[in-house]
Amino acid sequence: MLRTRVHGIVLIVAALAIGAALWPPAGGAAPAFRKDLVLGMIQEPAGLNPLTASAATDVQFMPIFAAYSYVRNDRLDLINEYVEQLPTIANGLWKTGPGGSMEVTWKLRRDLKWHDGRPLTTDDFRYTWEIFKDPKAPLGARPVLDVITGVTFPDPYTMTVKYSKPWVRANLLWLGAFSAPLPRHIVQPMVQRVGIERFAEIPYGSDPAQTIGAGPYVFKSWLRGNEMVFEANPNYHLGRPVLDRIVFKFFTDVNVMVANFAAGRLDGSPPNPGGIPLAQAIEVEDLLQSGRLSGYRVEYYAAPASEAYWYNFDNPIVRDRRVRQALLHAIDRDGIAQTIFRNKVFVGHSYFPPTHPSHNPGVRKYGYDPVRARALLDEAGWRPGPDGIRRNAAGERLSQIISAPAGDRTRERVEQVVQSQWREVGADLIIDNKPVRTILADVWLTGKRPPDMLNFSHPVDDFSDIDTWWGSWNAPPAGQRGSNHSRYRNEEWDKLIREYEVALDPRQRRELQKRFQVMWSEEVPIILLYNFVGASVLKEGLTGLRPLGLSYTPGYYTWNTRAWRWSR
Amino acid sequence: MARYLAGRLLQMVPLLVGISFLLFFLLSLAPGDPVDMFIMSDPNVDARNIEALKHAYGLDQPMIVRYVKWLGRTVRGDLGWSLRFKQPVSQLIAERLPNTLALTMTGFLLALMLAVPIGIYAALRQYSLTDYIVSFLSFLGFSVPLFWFGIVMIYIFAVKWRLVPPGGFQTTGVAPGWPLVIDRLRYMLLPAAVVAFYTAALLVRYVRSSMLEALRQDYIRTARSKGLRERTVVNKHALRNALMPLVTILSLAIPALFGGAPVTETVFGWPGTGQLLVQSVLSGDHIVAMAMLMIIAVLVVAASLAADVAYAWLDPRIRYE
Repeated sequence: MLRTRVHGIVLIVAALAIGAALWPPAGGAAPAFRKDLVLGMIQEPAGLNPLTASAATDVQFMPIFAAYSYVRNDRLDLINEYVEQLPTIANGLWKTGPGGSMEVTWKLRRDLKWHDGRPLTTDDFRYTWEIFKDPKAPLGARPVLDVITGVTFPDPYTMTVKYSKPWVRANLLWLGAFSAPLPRHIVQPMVQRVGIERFAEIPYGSDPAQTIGAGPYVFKSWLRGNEMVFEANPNYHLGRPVLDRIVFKFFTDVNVMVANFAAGRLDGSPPNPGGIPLAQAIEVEDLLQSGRLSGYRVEYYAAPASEAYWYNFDNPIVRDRRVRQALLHAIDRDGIAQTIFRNKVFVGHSYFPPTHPSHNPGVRKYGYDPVRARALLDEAGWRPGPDGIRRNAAGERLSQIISAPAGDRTRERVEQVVQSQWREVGADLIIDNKPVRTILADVWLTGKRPPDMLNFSHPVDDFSDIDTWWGSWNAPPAGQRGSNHSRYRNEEWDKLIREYEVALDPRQRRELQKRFQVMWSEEVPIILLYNFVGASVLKEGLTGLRPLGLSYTPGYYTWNTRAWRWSR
Repeated sequence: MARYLAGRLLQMVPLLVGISFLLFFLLSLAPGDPVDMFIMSDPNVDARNIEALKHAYGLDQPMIVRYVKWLGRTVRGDLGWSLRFKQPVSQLIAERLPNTLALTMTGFLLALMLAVPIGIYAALRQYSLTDYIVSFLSFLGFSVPLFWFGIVMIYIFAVKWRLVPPGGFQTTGVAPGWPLVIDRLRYMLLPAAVVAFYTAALLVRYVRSSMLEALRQDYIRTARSKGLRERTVVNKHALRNALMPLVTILSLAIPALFGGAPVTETVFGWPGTGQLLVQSVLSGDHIVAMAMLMIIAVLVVAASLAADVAYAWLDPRIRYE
């Protein structure tokens, strides 16, 4: 009997001890100026090797720890904290020569140090350049190699790049080529072990213990599928960051991330790419307004992307400009923005969003006007058929198939609105959404089965988009891949784009971009639905996290991690 | 028995080769690969680069060539290199397997501890209110979508009552040793409870029906007529025989222990092999998906052999020749 009682007491004590151990710590008040930050993310980087990382989420993480070159501030100026001066034509470090040749000189700061204390010099850049230009290295596109005629490293702090032709992106990336240098003393032995052909397999960028940079934070740890931790670099040449530690927590289910906000376990989430999607940010705002959540704020930013339906110009129906204009007039885009997005997005009229320095507000606008739409279709020879859908002289129906990623409820709702509004003017929209990977692989990448229209969001970048998306040389024959996905070809546009490609003067580029928008709005080669808005959820008291309103660039929200801080 | 075992082991070889070919073939039908995903994020990549990258990773070769190379490497113990995760596949799996085993085994043990007594109790009181409640909860357990159930659990226990963390794996910066173990246990409570609830719901049905069948047998009547106490009849005669069919169920559950709980791990952000499988399939990283699926296939085949052997050991009437 006594033994049974003793066993019982032991069991109860053990249960209490375990319970006490497992019980969460009391929710005591955080200290007045916290020095750490926990951000929630719904996408995890694949790796942080600057030569192989290219996904939108990956490159947001790079400026935190690497000596990254392609970063802008909130005035959209290029910033490079690792050089004495950014090469520009104005300061003479970027010189032009006969026949369009150029010479660009980079002068490194002399106080740069890798995280392990070794000096960062041109020797590291020379090594990175050797890897970058090696044809055996399994890297992505390297079009700059066609124009660079030579790189010299006269001293440990100076590098000069010679170009055969104008290259507008010459001061964007290091040596016009790569985004961050590799530490030779760390990476060279790794490459020697596996061979240059397997460069992508080296642990640099994957294993924090073998990955150093020269940026404001040190890549401390990475528990895949769970969290990535960066700690302040006390020896950063511009001074130690304010925060001690930034933790990125990864969630595969966005609802769980919202639950973490509700439980108060996250300090915030930056916008997409990688951070909280707009719909969930609105959800959090609802919780805040209803009083079920407190201590956070939701901020909205004009995002560097537009949502559009991309025609396929292989289909002759849409080659008539009047048809495209009519189909745009037939959509109540303001109504969509209001009812589906609660006016958080704004209707796009110009190719560049209003926050873009080249935005041209004077372009032709296409408001909701079914009467005008019908008139344009009549004029183009499309007459109402017995089923209400218009037909041309050849008896073809005015019908388009739209494909969006299946399961995207927001896009499906928009499609349904467009479908019913098009029907009012006699146009048919057939919704045929597909798994995202089918769209990526079959349609986007190889062009095997191009449907009539594709629905995707389109990043608007300051440098890479006019020529990439609209040059006719990027519109391949059917069955081949090209970045001009709609296969739109226009000789007048090509002329302007060729001029744009070699315009080194930023003012001249702006002017060309403005002219392009006028031409673009007349032609309406895509149905621009709305300009995206990104949102972040931030705990009250967190300051400094200011995503840029433009430029789908690395560091969209991590450009100033050094200045992130708690104000209370 | 030895001859039987040797024969079964030999049969496993062509079976596994067949399974691997079928899996490889099916995965190769899925559109896209990691290079496509890589290209997708870089609009400047042209056809020349795509070819170069695909060639570098051997993705430009016919399916059969890629399969033979994969098989050759795998037989030598090299599971390949993940383009998506930029890590050797074996390292990826080795990193995540302990997390998965901790979760699934805890969940499984909890499920057994719940299901066996509840199933027996429900069988002994067939058609009673308790039996109906057990049956209702059991059907509910395996009918409710796991992702929904997981989110509801998070809402109740983590958001509303704040008893446990709402998903994740560990608190950042917690000291190694016991504090880390205890911290991870706290994170594991909720997902393990979800795994346990779902598994227990399934097992209860088996235990109950198996026990009911055993209780109807002649030897139970004989035992009772000998005047044995009811507890002895149930525990020594009925239960031992009723648990026999569970051997099959339990042995087939072993692969699931290694394969992880994809939905639960995804919902709770638990970095295990189940989450890895989901991520690799979604990102077109077939080499990881293939390794994971083959490990599960090997375990399924091995577990079914183990079940057969266990039968012979448990039931003297069974002889393999």
